Amino acid sequence: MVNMDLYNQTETVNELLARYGVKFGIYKDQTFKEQLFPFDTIPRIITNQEFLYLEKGLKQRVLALNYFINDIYSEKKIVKDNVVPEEFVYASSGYLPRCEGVCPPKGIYAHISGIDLVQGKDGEWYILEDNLRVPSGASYPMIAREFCRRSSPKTFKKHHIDDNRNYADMLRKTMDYVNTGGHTVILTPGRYNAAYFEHSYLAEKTGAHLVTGSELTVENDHLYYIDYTGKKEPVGAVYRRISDEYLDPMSFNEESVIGIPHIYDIFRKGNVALLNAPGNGVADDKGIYYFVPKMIRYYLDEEPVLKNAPTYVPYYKDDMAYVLEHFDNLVLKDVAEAGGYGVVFGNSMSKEQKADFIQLLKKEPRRFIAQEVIDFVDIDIFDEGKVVPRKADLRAFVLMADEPMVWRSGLTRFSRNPKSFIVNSSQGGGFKDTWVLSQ
Amino acid sequence: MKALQFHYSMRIRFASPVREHHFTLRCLPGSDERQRIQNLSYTVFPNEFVSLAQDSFENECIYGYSKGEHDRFEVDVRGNVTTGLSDSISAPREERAAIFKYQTWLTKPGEHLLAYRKKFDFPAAVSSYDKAYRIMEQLHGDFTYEAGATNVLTTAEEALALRKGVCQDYAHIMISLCRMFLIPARYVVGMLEGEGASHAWVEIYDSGRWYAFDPTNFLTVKNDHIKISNGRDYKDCMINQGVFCGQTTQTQEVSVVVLS
Repeated sequence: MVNMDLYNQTETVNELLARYGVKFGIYKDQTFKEQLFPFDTIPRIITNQEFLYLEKGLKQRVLALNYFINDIYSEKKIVKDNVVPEEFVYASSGYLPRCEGVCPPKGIYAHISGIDLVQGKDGEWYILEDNLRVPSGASYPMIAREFCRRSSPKTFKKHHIDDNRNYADMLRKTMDYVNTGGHTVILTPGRYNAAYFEHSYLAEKTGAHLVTGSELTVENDHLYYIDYTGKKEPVGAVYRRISDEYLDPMSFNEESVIGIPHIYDIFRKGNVALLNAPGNGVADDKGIYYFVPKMIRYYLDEEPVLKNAPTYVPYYKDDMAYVLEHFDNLVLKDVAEAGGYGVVFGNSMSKEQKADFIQLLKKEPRRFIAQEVIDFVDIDIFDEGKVVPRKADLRAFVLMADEPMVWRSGLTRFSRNPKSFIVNSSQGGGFKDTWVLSQ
Repeated sequence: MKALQFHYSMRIRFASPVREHHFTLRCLPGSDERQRIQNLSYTVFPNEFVSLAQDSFENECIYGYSKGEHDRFEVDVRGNVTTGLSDSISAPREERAAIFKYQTWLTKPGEHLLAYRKKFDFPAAVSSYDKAYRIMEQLHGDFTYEAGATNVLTTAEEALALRKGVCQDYAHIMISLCRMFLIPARYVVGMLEGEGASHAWVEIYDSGRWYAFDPTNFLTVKNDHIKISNGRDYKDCMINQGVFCGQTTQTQEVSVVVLS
């Protein structure tokens, strides 16, 4: 689909995005810098039929992940039945012993999930990773769509594109579903956070209060929001955009000054909902990723719809042998790292680097996974006026209320470097709108 | 069996007043198969907001918040205990006990612990209980009790290098060694007759039950110990944890009286 009318508005849309503060912050050399997130007007287009297939697979996956987290913090059947080895759970940085025995409101641990996928050249979609902790990114295609519509209304009249402005309603429904009685708030660490734009935008669109930790207080087993006049109102749901370790200095990192003391105690008592629930990182660990298809079979008794990228876990002897034999064809990932860090390609290492790496791998096999390099499809972007192919992935958003819901849009990120497969915004990439066709 | 009564008290004085004080206190002993608690009573000052909660290791906690300024913080807990009702505590689910097989920041071995481990050569048939006993015996002989040599954040590795420390260090080292032999081991805080302060010891898992060992005193726990809390290490069992606003210094006095 060629939409010159929209493409000609690239500059206008990017100017609007800059004016509305659509930025993300990064810390580089110990100073905080805000960067624009370059927007490319050529959309990624997904047909209705293809999206229905993705939707089916994503719902299945998030459902199984929620069952898994619940099981891990309660009965641990999957460990007992030896489907997931114990050390992959207890030695994972995402597993929090403080969450043992907790049942979050309505049993949901992963309310808002960002699932990263890529499409191979053969047309097959692969799951790259599950982001369950505090996945961000939905606000970017939401606001970009708004500006695209404004700049080129006829493009949206011409095509049957699903409206993606319902994300706020889906999020509100998700928050209301678990609310234990009281206001709904979005908890931000503040304006120096990488995703502050998103926090404020989602608060505005959902009608939730945007708050920092100092505006919330726990008294007598309940959480309260104190507004600027000093008025105190009960809070029933907190969409928290701060990570587990900073959430509550009494239960997690005691040095945290952005958290709310005792919020975790009242969460344990069922007196407030936290979205997403602390401890759910146990399921998005790169080491656990390998086991997700097994989880789907274990909990749902179904075959996984969507495939994982072919993955090897050197912890298993057979996999270790395979990894050593095919080292140059694989990408190796440190399970403890995120954001495109700790990822190395076997064929990019020098002889010495390779020898060192293999030594480390043998010493700490649990720390790494290896994956086949997927040759994923290029999609077109504008680069200085010319159309060029680049690597891109798709972050799909799955929200969990009484049932899982998949947002019919998503964040498409691309690498501006023609040689790079790494598309993370923290590595300087840009983004696109994702159109899901309604017919 | 033994009938004991106890009084735990903690008095903190702040040199200048503090406010916005949040606290969690793990100082309430609970009943289990080994001990029965009766007539438990407690007071906390200041008591603007005070509640009870259970943490993930099933320890009973007092938690609360005091907004206003105060220059002292006081806790008193009293009760009667019957101890020695059993030699162990049942742990019906092994997969739950497995959490205690993993080292924490405080118990993680370094070169000293790895070298020390070589002192033990267990034939395959030795039970976890007997291994733990042997570890306790060896450690008791090689380690000297000395107050002031270590502090609350000293790791097992550091304490072993010094070869001296207090009950906390004995417990951490023993836990670290047990975990190296894949025996689930947990840290226990409690009270002991004649000790004057709180005490720390170890519970190890064997065939569905937790057995308590006191490496500081080289004995298996029977009638004299009153258990307050357990966790993976000291940090899970801190008796007093707090955050507050105010530039100040504090002095703390703790007294534990156990009478039979």
